[in-house]
Amino acid sequence: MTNILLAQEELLDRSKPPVPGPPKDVQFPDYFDTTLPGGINVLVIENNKIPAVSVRLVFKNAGSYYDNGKYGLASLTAELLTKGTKNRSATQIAEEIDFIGGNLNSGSDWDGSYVSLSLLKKHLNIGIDVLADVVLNPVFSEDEISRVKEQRLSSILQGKDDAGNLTDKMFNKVLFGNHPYAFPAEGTEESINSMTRGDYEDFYKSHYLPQSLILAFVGNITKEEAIMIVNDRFSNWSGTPQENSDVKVYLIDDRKPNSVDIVNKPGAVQSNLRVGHIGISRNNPDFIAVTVMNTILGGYFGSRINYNLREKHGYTYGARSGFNTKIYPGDFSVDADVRNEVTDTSVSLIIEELNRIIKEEVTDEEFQTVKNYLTGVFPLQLETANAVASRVINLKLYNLPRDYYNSYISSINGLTKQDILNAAKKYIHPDKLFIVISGDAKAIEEKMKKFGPVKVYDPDGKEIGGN
Amino acid sequence: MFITTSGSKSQTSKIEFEEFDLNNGLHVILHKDNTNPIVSIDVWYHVGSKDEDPGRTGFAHLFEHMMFQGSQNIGKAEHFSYVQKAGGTVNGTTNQDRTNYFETVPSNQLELLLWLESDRMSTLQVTQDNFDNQREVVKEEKRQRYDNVPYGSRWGEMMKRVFKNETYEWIPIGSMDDLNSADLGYAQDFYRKYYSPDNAVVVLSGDIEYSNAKELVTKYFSGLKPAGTKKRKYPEIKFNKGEMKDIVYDNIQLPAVYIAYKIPGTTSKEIHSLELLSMILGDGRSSRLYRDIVYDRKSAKSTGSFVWDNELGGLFIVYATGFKNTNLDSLEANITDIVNSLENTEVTEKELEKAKNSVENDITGSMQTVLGKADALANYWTYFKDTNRINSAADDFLKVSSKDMIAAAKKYLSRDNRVVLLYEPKPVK
Repeated sequence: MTNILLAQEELLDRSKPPVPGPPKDVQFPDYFDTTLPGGINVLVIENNKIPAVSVRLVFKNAGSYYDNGKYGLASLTAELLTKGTKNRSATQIAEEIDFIGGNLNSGSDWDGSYVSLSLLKKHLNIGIDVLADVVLNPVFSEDEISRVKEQRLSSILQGKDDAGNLTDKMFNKVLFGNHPYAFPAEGTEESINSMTRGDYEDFYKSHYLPQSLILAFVGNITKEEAIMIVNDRFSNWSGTPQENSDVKVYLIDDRKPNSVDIVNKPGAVQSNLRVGHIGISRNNPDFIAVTVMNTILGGYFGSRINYNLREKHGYTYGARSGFNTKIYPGDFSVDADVRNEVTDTSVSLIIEELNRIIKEEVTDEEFQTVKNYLTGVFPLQLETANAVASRVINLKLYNLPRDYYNSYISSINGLTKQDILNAAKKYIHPDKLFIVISGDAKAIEEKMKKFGPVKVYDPDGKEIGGN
Repeated sequence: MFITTSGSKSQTSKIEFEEFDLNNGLHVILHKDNTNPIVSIDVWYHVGSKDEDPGRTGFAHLFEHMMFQGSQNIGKAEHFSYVQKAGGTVNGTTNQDRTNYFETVPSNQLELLLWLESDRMSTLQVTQDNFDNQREVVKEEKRQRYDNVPYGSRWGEMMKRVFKNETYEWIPIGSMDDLNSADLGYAQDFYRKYYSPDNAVVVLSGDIEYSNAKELVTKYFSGLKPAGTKKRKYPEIKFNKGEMKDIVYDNIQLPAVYIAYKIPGTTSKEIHSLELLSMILGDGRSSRLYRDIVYDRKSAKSTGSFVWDNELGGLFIVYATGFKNTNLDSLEANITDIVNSLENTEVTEKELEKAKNSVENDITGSMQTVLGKADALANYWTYFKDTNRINSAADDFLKVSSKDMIAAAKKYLSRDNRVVLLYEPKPVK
């Protein structure tokens, strides 16, 4: 044995990478999908690898988009669900869930509100008792409301020293104008202070409805068990769906581009920057072409933007670009933290890359690399039951076809370089950029003027200078 | 509440593995899991920031960056591009005790990983240009993750005091001055000393067949030369050196308190008791700290407690973030009373069972991915030289009694064995 191995080592040619074996077939896992008479959409993603179960509830049309001027309402309503019911106090809920080593969380984003439970299978019945109670019987007590409000106000305060948080808030504000996405989902000091118990109760009554519910069971559980649980706990639940309010979708041309907005953070040793414009919605038919194009541009470690700013120039620990896709078009942006002295140079390099991607076809080498990358990591992204469940839930939330992920790999492989160029031309607009930075205005303001009129704000978003 | 308890045997499933040594001292662990057509490699070098010399802090981590800058047959940045072109993910991390490198790829690409990892284990090529480039990248990493972040200095400030003039005095990111003065010669020397098969473990986890994997690892790694570096002697960690308390002024809006009690290392018998104590104290909304200072008194916005264990000695950390007007001295006094309650009042059976259930849930969850399992296997080999501990980890917790926990609390959670840092907003000029 030893001799054979030594002989192998001598013959081993290290100058070329080994040839891969034949690729294995990748299948998106099968799942169960049904809508019950009461309107609840039940999904079961069974996977018996570990003796654990997650139960994930998604309420569509219940996200921050529906705050209707009361910024933070969706988010606080979701948070309050686990803070007391007709049957249990907040402390009892925490005790029961912590005792079985489980996790019970609730929250919201722009597109929906969420409640999720994860635990070992052997504790499922106890967990479901609590879960059903918080979803069906929340009481929104004044005492808990005052706690949650005070916590939220402190979080907002804390965010005023967080570079990324300051940039995000300003970026959304200048980019989205009067659209709901312009306002912070966590709320503002003013909006949080003005909300009353009735607001939470109303939001709950009108947005937490069986007709809007996607209820996914994930892991060590069969569809029979899942259906039994739903029939047992949620079958008597009814609600009246409300009409969705009209939605204005803002187009790029609605906004005035080529401005620079700096949130001043005196003494900051880095600039946190975001450069971008309006992007696309999740169900945009060009989504996959846009994904491939963006990956080449700034979507993975080997991307043009990261290579240029990090590996070539050493300006940053990492730079990336991305389309933030939601039900309505979100933003496209490039972001990076760079040291003060190279803030303007970094923005110039980013703009150069944006211009390059819309003018020239990508190279064969980078196109093939990214195709391989995206199709290769696909099975990695399906390793856990929860990762699969997130994708299945998104299919339902964004009304994508059931076979979307079955044809995902072939959709990527079917793209041409012309498709990538077309996607770039259509969705990247280097001439219409919003540039937002949080950093030390004194150190960077002057040099940023070459990109457009500069405005400087304090951490509260109040304008304090500029030209 | 009626719950059938699991007694002293956990229900976490057994992880099968095979392991062997190559003649050059490389330890190899193989774990087969054919559920998904993917495989991870996880290479742990037993070197971390505790092996740096004073004046050379941050070096182990800076060196981790150099490992992606090319070796004899792989050019700058090609390590990333080979893996990504194969449809894989790749990264590395550095802590106080070890540096690890890991990739996950579709399983037909296994051999590529062995080629890449064996090439840089034997022939890393460190050039001045690449060294200078990565030094700048690491300086930006330090700014982004520590210097420009509210409370970002807390662990560095903490270690500096808890381990004053001892091993672990600094954190892996190091100091700006040392990064600026880092030189190429030291990097080459560091590589020769620590980056060798006799200071490493290679784990393959995922869609493999044992005989084939064994053959392939042998093919790529058996020809590499051991360094034979003598194991460094680390000075003994001393406890109960007296309480130290300082105020740090930072760019923050809310005051915060961080308390660290000094505890023994990863392999110590008391570590499980300390872990369980930290959970009873500060894990979740039913924990003693949360119930008291956040829920009842409303004197803190958030709180928590956790064990930060290093190989030779670590920290039992208790922290709380106040509200704008919170008085930190009284918050700290409240927290201290609650910590002291652990040794004075009984840990209830219910609290103990809750903590054990939580551990079981966490361990089960961490075994969901092939990379998660690879990391656990590498960990038990590196620090315990007993890989099979992966299968007794949960039971080790279940065996702990409330008496063990009180003993550990009495021994380590005392005033003269701790450092207190009070973070206050910088006064307005």
